[in-house]
Amino acid sequence: MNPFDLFLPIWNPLVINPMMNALLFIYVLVRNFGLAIIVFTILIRLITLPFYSQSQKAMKKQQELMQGDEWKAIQKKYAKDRERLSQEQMRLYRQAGVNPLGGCLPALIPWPIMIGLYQSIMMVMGAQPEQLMELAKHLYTFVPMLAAAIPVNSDFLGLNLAAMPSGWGYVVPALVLATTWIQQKMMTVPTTDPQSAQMNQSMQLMMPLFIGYISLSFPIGLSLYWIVFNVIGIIQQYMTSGWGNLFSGTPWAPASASAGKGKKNVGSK
Amino acid sequence: MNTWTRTRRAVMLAVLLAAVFLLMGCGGLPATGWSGAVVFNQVVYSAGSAGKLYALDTRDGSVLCKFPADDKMHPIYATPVLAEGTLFVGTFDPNDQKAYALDPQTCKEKWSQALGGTVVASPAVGGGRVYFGANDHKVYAFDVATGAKQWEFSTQGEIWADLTLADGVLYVASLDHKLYALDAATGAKRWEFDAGGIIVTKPAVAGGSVFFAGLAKIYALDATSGARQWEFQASNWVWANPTVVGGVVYVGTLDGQVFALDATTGQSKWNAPYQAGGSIRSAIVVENSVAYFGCDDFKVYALDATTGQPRWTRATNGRVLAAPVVADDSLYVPSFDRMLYALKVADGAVKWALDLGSGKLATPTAGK
Repeated sequence: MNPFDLFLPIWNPLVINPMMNALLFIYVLVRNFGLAIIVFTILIRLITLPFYSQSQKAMKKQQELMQGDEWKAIQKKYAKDRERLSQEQMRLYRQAGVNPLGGCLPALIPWPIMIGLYQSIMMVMGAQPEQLMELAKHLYTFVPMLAAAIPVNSDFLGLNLAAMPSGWGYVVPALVLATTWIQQKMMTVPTTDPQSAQMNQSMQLMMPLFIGYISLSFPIGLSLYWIVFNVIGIIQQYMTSGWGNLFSGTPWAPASASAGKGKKNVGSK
Repeated sequence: MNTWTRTRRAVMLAVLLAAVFLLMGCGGLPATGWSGAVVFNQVVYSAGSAGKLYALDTRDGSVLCKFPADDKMHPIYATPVLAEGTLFVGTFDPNDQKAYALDPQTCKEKWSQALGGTVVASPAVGGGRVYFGANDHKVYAFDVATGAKQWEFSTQGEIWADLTLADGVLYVASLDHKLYALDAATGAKRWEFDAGGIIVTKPAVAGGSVFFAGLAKIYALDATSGARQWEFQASNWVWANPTVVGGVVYVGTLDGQVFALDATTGQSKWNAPYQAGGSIRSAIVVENSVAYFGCDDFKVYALDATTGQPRWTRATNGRVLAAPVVADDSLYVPSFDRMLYALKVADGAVKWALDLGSGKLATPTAGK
């Protein structure tokens, strides 16, 4: 038995059923499954927008603290006492009213949504009998138009959204990789600490490669969601903090650490 | 690097990895197939969910031959059809989109013909032709002896419902929401009926009527004209092939209800539908006034076909989505635990159980 099955009584009615029926309802309205995924992703992003903004503000505050003189002095003072350094860091966070794990949230939010969306897409596409049969168990039967819309047309811009990437469809995972990298790079905070810089660099590379690799193994429809999600994230990040660290190390890099719209270069990583 | 940055990254990495494992593990139901069984001359032919078609001796479960002979998985949804001395089957393997005619003694290929898509529907055989429906929306007619293609007919959707041949008419249900009645000799369309939703059930023909289900409705149509005679609103979608025996239509639903309907009026014959413990995809097989079916709750059920009262249940270790087959005093049931069970019809006791994955007899662990 899959351990995840234990969560199904909660997961299905709270996540899968509303998500799948909403996706199908949007499909009924726009009559194009690719467009339905795009509209659905934008809606999800709008719904989670306040949550994101709050987290981004928390992260910004946290990063400002870490770049402040007080923290630098503490680092200098307790350079050889890591335990004390941690205690002082916590004290600093407490004083500023910052939750040190608050910065993780934006990176975590897409995953349950992605899992739910993946299951929804697979069921709605119904590429194999088990999936379509499973769909019937989650469909809101009080909305007859949803059942009548099945099977959905999976063609989008010449691509089969239910299929794994092949041929020129490999452009899709490449776009997933590129948009993930851009967002990651924008969110990275420049640091003078060599260990942090090395970690940043490996995260900048590993995360997009990892996500890109995953998107090779899943239907194109899921990658479409991921691209739209990233693009909205990039726009949102630009609105909050400008281009951030995107152009560092390139000829287009701004002269100072600040970049884009004159805002201070802060981010989540 | 500060401690909290490290902690945050570690948390993120852990959650990311957990999410990826969940994503990979929970979302996809892999195509395994749910082929039923066919019994002839003390040989049972079944693929179940084992990804291969096996011919087994009904007396002891020993493997006589298998198809394909390689060690790869070839998901098979279509229950094989044995007719005119040949075994017909198609697979859901995208690399193997063919209609196969096999020698039932050796499982060796007599002929094969390329199709434009994979196969979910069981073929139909009669009048020297074999008919295959495929995922390329088409139904094909081939000569039984040579495999030569005689005609093809295009629908607008995948063909997942088993084909039915009766009185020179081929009934083809498609995911395009329509049931087609075709001239079996030429492929010319006689009539079509729009059910307003996908049709995945094999049409059953009896007493001049065609019975099938579209979404949650069960329909009776005039076999000659396609005119609607009656319809019955079931409690949920119907994926189980309707069975018509003695003027009664038996059908199961995805919310586990079993209905017995009067074939003439569509009225319920039982006081109340029988409620099973899971979704029913298996057809209800009626033999000697007992209705047998498999269920998503891993069980095989036997009901009194007249009253709907339970006789016995037998638990397996996997979902039972294929219809059981009754032969002599045995019930042959493929389960999603990749076992083929031979049960006694009287009480459901396990005679033998064969692991289709390894081809070895297994110690029966099925319970009540």
